[in-house]
Amino acid sequence: MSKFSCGIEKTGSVFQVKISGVIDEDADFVPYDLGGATEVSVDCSGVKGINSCGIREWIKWISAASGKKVIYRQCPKVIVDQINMVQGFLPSSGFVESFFVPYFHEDSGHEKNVLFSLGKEYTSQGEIKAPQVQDDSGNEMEMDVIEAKYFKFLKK
Amino acid sequence: MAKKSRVIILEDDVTVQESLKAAFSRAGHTVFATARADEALDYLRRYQVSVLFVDCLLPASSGVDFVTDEVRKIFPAGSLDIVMMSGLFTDNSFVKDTLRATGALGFIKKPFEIEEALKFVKAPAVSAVVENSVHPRKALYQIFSRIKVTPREKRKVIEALDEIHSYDLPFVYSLLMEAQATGHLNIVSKSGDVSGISFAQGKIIAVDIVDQDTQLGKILIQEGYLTSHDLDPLLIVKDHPKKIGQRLIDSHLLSPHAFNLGLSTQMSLRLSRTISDTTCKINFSPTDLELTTPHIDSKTLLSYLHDWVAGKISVSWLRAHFLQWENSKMTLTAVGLENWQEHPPLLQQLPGLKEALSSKLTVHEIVAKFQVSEEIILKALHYVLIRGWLSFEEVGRQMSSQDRLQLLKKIDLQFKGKSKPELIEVMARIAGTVESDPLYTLSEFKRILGHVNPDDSQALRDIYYKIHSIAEEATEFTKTNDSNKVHEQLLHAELENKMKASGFYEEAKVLLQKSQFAQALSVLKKVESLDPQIERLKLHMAWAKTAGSDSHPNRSRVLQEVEADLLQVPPEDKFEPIFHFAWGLYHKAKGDFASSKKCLEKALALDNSFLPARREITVVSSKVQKKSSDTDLTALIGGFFKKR
Repeated sequence: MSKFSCGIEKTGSVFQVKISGVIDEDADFVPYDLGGATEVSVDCSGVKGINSCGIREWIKWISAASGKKVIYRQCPKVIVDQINMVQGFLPSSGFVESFFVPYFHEDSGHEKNVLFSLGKEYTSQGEIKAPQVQDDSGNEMEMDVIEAKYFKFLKK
Repeated sequence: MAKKSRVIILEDDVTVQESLKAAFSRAGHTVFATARADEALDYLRRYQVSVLFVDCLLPASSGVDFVTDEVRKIFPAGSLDIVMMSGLFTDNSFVKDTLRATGALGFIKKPFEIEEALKFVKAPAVSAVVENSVHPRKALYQIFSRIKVTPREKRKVIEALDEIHSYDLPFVYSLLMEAQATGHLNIVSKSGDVSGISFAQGKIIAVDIVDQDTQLGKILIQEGYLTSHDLDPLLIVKDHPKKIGQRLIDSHLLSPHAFNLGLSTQMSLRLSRTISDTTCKINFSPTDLELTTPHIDSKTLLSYLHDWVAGKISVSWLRAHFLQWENSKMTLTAVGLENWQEHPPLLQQLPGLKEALSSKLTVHEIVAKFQVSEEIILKALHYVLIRGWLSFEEVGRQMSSQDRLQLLKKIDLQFKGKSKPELIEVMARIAGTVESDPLYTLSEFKRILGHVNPDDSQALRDIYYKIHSIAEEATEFTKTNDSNKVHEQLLHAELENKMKASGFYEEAKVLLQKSQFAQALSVLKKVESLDPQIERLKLHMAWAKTAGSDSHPNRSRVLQEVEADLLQVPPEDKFEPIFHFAWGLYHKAKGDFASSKKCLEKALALDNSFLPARREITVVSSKVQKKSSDTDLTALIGGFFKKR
């Protein structure tokens, strides 16, 4: 199981945070205080999982940046699920710059995570231009999510 | 967002099947091709299909019969486009009859140009884009009527879930176990509290709920691993650097194994607390987790499943929930036939249930067949359903006018006295959806209502139109601002009822202490009507009924009721002294004084100051002593006359 790790880089009041591993009861956000930031950018690409304790810790931590510009990038499905479900997981002043969408081909069983980026695959109004995705054998793949549920956060 | 249409090709001719599949795929549609009617039906139930192409001559059956007898029963004309195909029967009268019988959009004579087939599959309307498949909660319960479900499909069904009723959670836990899932199930309550269950290789390794009341001491005492004499001195010392469990182990008062068993039971109680009469949101994230000890395995979970269904799920929810299958015959699955057990207490109440289910009856017919309360029957059926022993056949039976009238009357009863927001809740339960999506709920609810036919009786038509208009009005109401106001009023009224119930409850407890059982029972019934989910209600009722049964003209029926009450005690209440006390009274009433004494002693072990238990022990002990001296005397006398 990959352990929680967090790195923070501060350029003035702009904080760049990178979070990896599993966020659970052992994840300690205390050393990564967001006080004094005017902009917080969180790279979530390395997040492997999050449990309920981790969700509570995350909300407590990110709420320090509430009202500031908060950007989540490269969000894996597990993070998108929490943004959709848990109030405050993404502060109301925040937005998602990019996130992964799982694709699947029913016959071959191939799975692929495709990065959707703001301005390319979706707009800030929540319009989606889903790309055509093929697996290694050239089969056309389908999105492996319930779209009405997965893209809900874009409409907020 | 461009969206593909889903097309089914039901055709046994491989060449035709392949060429149609290739053409539709090239045109950007999702195609499911099969030669088996049951597979096509299964696919239809799972996905929103745009067009079904059916060959008139299928292996061992007729495509026309398949459409008229099975497909149209679920998807009436107008709800699914069907195109019939044939190379053999192509004369005009056959085509005309087929179109009329099947309500098909068209008929293609083989051989045909691909373009001819393509023209039947149009681009879907934008409004259809939002829901490209069955609603996730509906899909969860459609597992009950599926022929075969792969572990991936089970996992996907759960991953797709968003809002559910908390009473669905036992089924979700069981499916995750069956699918050998590893990861976190996160649950958000209506009030925003976050709980979570962690799974590793299909076993539950951790349960995190907001209320962290441990109950560990009670569990260990009840299981006989500890006495309160061992535990109490340790509880006095506060702020000890070591946790109490470790201190018990260090003092050799408790073995690590016993401690783990206690922790496992504690997990089950926390799981039990996640199940309540409210909605919640869930998501499951597969995550790499190690299997740790203690954990709950599938065998242990099965016994908890039983207790949750028996003790947590309300009968009013089940009544509405089962209406979605009112016209469906139940059938035992292969798993059910292989694994059926008679010993779960709910099933013990219904001897012969397995045989009854083998004869493919509806829920309504099962309820009519057994002379047991509807509550017990519905709980037993729900238990066997979520164990995967039973499935519903959605097709195969035309509902008679009489049956339809009965169904509508039941729905009408469910609607009675409900406010508009409450009506949406009831409709969602009946339709197997969630109330937060009233429009979808209405459309699914209407599907269950069906249509009225010109030859239907006036009574049926009246009740149908009455329900129809109430449902429409309730749905319209959700669009207004008044809806929130009414929600608030309802919450307020609910709170008031709970407060009233709590007052009556205290009064009833005092009456029980004073041994005024009949009065206590009448007050407890008031409590039940105001707040049926109040803690330990069934136990207090069992106390009042049993203790007052001596003078009752139909004592055996009362004791039967008590047994049913005790069967429906929520797992968390089984660690309360009153649970053992109530069982003690029941055994005493049945004349089993030894068992009664044991139960009463357990009650006292959990609460030494429980006076009614102390009083009863004195009574029961003397009976046990008398019985044993009677037995000794009989043995002695018997001994004189024994042949040597």
